[in-house]
Amino acid sequence: MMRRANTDLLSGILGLGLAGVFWWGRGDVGRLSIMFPHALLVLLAAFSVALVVKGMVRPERRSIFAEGDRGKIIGSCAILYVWVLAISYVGFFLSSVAGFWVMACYLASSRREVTPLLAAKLFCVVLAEVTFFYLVFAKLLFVPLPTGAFFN
Amino acid sequence: MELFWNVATELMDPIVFLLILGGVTAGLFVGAMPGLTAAMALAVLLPFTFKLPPLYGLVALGAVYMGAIYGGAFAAILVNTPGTPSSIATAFEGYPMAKDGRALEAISLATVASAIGGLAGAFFLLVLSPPLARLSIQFGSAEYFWVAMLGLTLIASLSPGSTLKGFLGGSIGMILASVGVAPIGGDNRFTFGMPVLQGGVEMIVALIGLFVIPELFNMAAQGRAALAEVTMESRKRGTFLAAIRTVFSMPGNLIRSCIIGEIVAIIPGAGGSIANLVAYNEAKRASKHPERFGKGSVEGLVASESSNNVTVAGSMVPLLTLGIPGAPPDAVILGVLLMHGLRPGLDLFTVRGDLTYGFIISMGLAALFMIPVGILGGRLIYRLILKTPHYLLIPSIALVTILGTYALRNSLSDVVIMLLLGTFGFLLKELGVESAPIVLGLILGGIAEMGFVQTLLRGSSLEHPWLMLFQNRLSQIIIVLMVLSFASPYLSAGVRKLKKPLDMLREEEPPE
Amino acid sequence: MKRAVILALSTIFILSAGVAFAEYPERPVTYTIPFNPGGESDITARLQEPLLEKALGVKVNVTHKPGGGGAVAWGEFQRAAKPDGYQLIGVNIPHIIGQPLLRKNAGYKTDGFDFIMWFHFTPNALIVRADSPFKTLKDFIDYAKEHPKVITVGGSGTYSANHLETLRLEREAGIKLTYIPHTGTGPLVPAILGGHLSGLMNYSMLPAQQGDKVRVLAVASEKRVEALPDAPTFKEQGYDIVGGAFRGVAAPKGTPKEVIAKLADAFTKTNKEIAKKQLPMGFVMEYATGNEAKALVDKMRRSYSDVIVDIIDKRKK
Repeated sequence: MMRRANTDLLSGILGLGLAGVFWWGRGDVGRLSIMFPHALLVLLAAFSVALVVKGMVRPERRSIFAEGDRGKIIGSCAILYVWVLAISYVGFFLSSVAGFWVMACYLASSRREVTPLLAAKLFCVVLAEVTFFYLVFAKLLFVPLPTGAFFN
Repeated sequence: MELFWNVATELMDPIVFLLILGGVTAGLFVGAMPGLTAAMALAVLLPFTFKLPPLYGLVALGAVYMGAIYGGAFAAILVNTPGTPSSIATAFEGYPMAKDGRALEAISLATVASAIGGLAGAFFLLVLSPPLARLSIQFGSAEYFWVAMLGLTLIASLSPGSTLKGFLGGSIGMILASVGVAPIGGDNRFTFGMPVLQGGVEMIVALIGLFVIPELFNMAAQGRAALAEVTMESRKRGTFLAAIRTVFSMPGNLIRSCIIGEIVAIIPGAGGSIANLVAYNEAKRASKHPERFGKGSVEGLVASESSNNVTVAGSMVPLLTLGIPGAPPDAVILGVLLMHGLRPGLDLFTVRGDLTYGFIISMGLAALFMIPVGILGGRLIYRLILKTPHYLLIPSIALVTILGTYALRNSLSDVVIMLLLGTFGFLLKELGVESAPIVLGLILGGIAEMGFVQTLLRGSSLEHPWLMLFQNRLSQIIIVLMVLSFASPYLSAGVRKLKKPLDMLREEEPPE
Repeated sequence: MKRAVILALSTIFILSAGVAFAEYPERPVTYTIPFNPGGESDITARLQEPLLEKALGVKVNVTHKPGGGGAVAWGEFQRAAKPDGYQLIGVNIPHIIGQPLLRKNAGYKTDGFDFIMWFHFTPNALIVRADSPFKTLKDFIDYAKEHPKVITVGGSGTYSANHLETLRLEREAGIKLTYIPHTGTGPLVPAILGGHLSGLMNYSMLPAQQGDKVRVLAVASEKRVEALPDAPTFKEQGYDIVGGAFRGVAAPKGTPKEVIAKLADAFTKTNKEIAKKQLPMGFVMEYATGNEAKALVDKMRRSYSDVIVDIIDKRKK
């Protein structure tokens, strides 16, 4: 972002939005259950308003998302979400091998060309690593890892 | 005293040494993996200890517990992710050191500080248990509320940029802590129609998300691995002897951190997650170089790591004398005691002194064993992380994070929550709202709510129930401490201004 | 070399994942505890684990899935667990009775399990500190009659066994108390020993553990508890109050009858063994299997229904 952002205003608005979402989602609950969260929501809103005011009067400006390649953040974020969401459909093992491998190739592409040979090498490393962790968690620590449609 | 020496000689047994060595090593691994907690490790170990005589079982459990609290430092230093909530402050200083090529130095210092903390904890447990236990039960619901408020004053020092943003983060954390079944009242709050949210936002899930995910995104954006190669100069300072010299060159810091660790540990329910932050904060306040904090201050690192290892044996004070488990791992140890027919109480120190002293001494031994295990293990993990190219390291950290988060409660929803919070935390971090105050809010939110509502209930026969909050002497002391803690940055700034009017000019300089 | 290791690892993995079907049980059984490690449910499961393995001849993996007072795990279990006998879950009365009635959207149903066995009962007990002016239940109730809401009674959880029992005591004795929920049994100990509460309504384990630091005014069981021979029951003192927490194990709805029977058998054997350890801790052993297990749920549901109706009425106001 070339323009320097008014971080006070932005974080204040974000805080107000969050307070709004929670206020809307507080539901119909008893007095004892809600008295403390109510106080917290008021506090959150107060700090947010204070930040908004400060953002208008004496804003702190700085460039955000400035370091490095912004595309890579969005890309790896997307891969991470797909990886995690896929676990419930295809199980831990398959989705982790796939997610890990895709992410490794994607990140490697910024430094060097990802040739089929490199991709294959990465795949072997990924397979070994995921298998190792799978065995440690499932067989040593007895964590029941999610199983998917195809495979444990 | 004779009993003590008898027990001590009895412990000089190869099996005991093997158990401690194995326990500390396993604990270190568990602690270094974000998501794997000491409580979980102890629970997995439990069935094996039934097959051992009670003393051996306790020795193994104590060693794992000690190792796990210490192991959190590795992840904190090397990938900016506290492996357990006990090493949050370690990440503040350890990671900047590692980025500067001082990773090995940070690990050595953390190791020595942890060992000292562990020994101090065992010593306090050995000699001061009865009076400390009496202090520990003085804390009622009102005191808990004020302790939480006192804890919130730390926000000011945890948010270097803007205090206002720190408080914004703190209140976000406290609201996240209130998701799920209300501790008092029993209704579902903020579940947005999803039954799985009844379980709330587990503090460790949030801790992992808020610390790891932003770091992963930064690493991806910059196409770099986490660490720099260790410099020659730092290699020299990273040797074991040099680390010992450095740590002992700050005796005031050590003593203060150990005492803070012990006091926090005996308050049931507080534990290492709060101790390390309080000790860090006090170290910063007392330091001659507060400006180095956050940029790799050795003092901050030592304060955090020594205080959190004090809490391991420290939380055994209320456990062994009164049967009060202050933290989840303590509950497992209490279970072991009960299953062997051992009732917590002063009897444990007299009638079954053989067992109790054996357990305490073995915790001290475990602290000593951390030094070789930690220094060797630390070098190994460091090499591994340094030599791995960033495009393998980033997804590896993601994999471990996903597994660790899942294993915490065997819940895939927790993994999704972790990821969402992490993304949100990344945005907030870019806007100058740091992760630490949010996590602090999460830790303290529940304690504050319980204390507050319980106290109002206790006072429900009074005309003004909230007066209950101020009635006890201990509450009043904590309130004074809180006011002092909150005002001290302003007070000292005022004093400085009065003393050196010239400094005013320097403050006018724009930051960076 | 690297390749060989990978090959070996993947072979091990495929072999261990491969499953052939034959007589139950053929592969490891997962036993989920819906609470944190270190609690009564967990400790019981850990005691059972090696003995169950001997009885069943396969590995039994105890795992934890805490959250929402058990509700998260129970909801997930009823939604996703396969009724093949390889997935078991710890269940607790009154949690599984109270939560679906009192919470909006608890995510599971009381009758959505096939109960294998209820293996023990921890009766509620009314406890005061050893130096309390309340020497007997009568002292306690007399004082409460004159000073409504002044007596503070701590317990573990809201709408829990402790809470419901306190409400039942209020109803039966015609008194008003102030119930103060805590998160679990742990925090209750400093609260009572430090004199922050007038009394506790908690399980029989607490006095068994604390010994002469506390006094038990009454226990909510049919007969006196073995570990507390001097503690009178509510019934002896003229109040028909029997209640507490039952712990047991359940399989998903629709699990084959033979499998349930086999598991009930294994758990019964196990229970007889661990009784030696649990009786001195204040537990009361139970052996309710099959139809009896189902009947116990119905019986407890009836016995708590008055108090639950009261709560719901009060909330509507």
